[in-house]
Amino acid sequence: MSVNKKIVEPYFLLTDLAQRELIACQHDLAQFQQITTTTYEGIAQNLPAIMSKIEDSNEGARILVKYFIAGEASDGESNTSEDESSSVVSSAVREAKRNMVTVSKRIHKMFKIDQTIFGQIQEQVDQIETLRISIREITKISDDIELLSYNSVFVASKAGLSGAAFTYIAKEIKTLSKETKDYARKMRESSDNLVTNYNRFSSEIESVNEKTNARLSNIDTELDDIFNKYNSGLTNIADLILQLLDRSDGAKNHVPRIMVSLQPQDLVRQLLDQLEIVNKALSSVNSKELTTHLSSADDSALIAIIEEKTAKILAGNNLNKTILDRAARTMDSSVDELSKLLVELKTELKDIETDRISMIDFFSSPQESLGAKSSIEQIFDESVSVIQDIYDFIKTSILKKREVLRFGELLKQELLNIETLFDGMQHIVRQFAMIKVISGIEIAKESILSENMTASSEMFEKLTENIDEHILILRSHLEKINADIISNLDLLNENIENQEKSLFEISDMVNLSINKLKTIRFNINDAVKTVGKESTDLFKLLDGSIKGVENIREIVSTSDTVGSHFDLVIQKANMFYQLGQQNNPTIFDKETNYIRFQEFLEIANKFIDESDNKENQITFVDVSNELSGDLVLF
Amino acid sequence: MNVVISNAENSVTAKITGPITETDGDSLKENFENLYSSSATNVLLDLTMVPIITSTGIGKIIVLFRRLKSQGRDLVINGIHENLYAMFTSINLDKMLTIKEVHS
Repeated sequence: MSVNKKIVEPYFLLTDLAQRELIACQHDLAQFQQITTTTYEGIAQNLPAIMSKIEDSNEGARILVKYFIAGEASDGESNTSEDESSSVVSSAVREAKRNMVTVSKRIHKMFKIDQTIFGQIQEQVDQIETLRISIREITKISDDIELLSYNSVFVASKAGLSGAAFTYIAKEIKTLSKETKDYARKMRESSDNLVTNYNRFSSEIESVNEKTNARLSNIDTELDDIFNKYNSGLTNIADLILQLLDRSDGAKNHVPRIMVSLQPQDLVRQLLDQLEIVNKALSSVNSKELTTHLSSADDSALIAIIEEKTAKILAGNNLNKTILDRAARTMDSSVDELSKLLVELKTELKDIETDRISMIDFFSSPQESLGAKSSIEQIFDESVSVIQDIYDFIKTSILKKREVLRFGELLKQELLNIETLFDGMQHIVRQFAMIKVISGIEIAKESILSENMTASSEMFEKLTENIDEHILILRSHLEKINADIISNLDLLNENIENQEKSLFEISDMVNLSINKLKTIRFNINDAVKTVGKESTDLFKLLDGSIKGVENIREIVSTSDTVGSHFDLVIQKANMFYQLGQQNNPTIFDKETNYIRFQEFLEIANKFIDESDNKENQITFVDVSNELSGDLVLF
Repeated sequence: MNVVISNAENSVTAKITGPITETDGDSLKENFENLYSSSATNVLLDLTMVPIITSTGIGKIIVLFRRLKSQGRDLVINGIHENLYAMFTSINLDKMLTIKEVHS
């Protein structure tokens, strides 16, 4: 059998197969490379986008929370200076508090004036008792005069005709003393009414005062409480939101680790590049190349060339298989790490998202347990309701005082009544004076009148002087009390009028604060709601990356397809080399691994390590038993 | 933070001890999942020994409350530290949850 038949023809078959497989391999490899690169690049591009999505949404939320709620306090730089605190809410709350404190001070001042006037009225009405004493005195004297008049009538009747004038005078005295007693009774009744009305006035005033005092003395504490509630409620909400944002920020730390887990793709790319270099070197080992030696070389030289080229095919394909395996293993382990890290990041972000959405929903959406209000709305409404309540109380107090002042009017009327009665009584006293004069004349005319009559006359004179004196005292008391009470009631009226006028201003201030707080309540609720939005885009990116990782896993499994080209060539080249050994044992006795070829050795030195060599032992396929006689290898 | 879960007739109690911080999220989630999957009608949380809570804890308590409520079950705080109570009150969480006793 000629050399051609034994070696060259099978060799041509081998190189043709190697070339065909090389072309198919390059095609598969190009696809493998392209998909791998695209997928890795896709994940690599997603990562900064994921970072910036977390950063952007957190930053936006953080600005929003600080703008509306937190201010400096939540930065941990507690700043008590009112002018420097920056959040919209804190400044609105401060303004509302300032307004309410101003209201409180004004109300305090006005109510203090009221109290002074009430005190003065109280003192003056106490003097009514002195009136009652005077009235009692006058009544007593009137009783004496009446008794005296009975006695005078009796004495005068005994005196016969000479006592007739006295009888008439005594009857007149009796009538006048009855009238005096009548006036005194009316004055007593009037003064009783005065005291009753005063007591009513006093107790009503006292009740309004007590309530007002109790409420006003607590008003500052009450205002402090509500504004503290604002501050602590909203600061806690802000802090909880900021903590969530910090947790999100913390989750970003996964991203650099994910980036690091992507680094092996560089090695994969370099390995696949080297694989291409090896393929390029193998592409020169073809039938055409040997044809040029066929005519010039002798059989031994030709067989030696064939041996070397076959060894190169074996070394190159084995090296390629090793490189491909290395690339696949590298990708496999990187995919496991990458997948683990991405799933960890997604789990953490999902956990934070669940907490965030639940919390924000509680803070900003209607809650059944809060009467269909959100927590933020409830905080605002509670405070607004306290402010409204304080305002309503102030308004009611002023109205109540206005009502009570009506009893003051009754007091005035009663005082006028006493004055009228006093005038009536004074008129009688003037009549007593006239009778006294007439009585004196009669006594002078009738010298025979008994000593008793003279004594009665003298007694009457003394009593009328007495009553006169008491009436003068009563008059002076009455005038003073009247003037003072009326003046104070007028003052009180004036003060209440001022309070009523102030009520409009206070109402404006309170409404301004309430409206501002209501606007902020709406804005802040809306703003916090936006922090609770689902991070759909972020999770889309994450899911895209996780899907990319799964794609890489699938790509790795396709490396078997690329590797099958090398396997086939190696198998056939081994069989051919075995054939060469049988026919030309002195030539086909050399190394067939990459160490023999400098170009392959350089590549192997760079990318092949011990483990690769162990796992990918370059071995010959033992086909000795199958090979006998002429072999058909292909 | 440490969580001890104990079962009684118709109720399950999780007694938490120590501050609930950011790092306790996973443990809390796992324990709350156990509470949720228990067949007990009444789920009790004992927060008497919890002086501090962060958004991690608040978020998870709200999530647990809502999940239980959707099943017609109750979440009751049978004891709470005064610090936490002040915080719950300030954000009106005390109006959503049933709180039995406040401890100083």
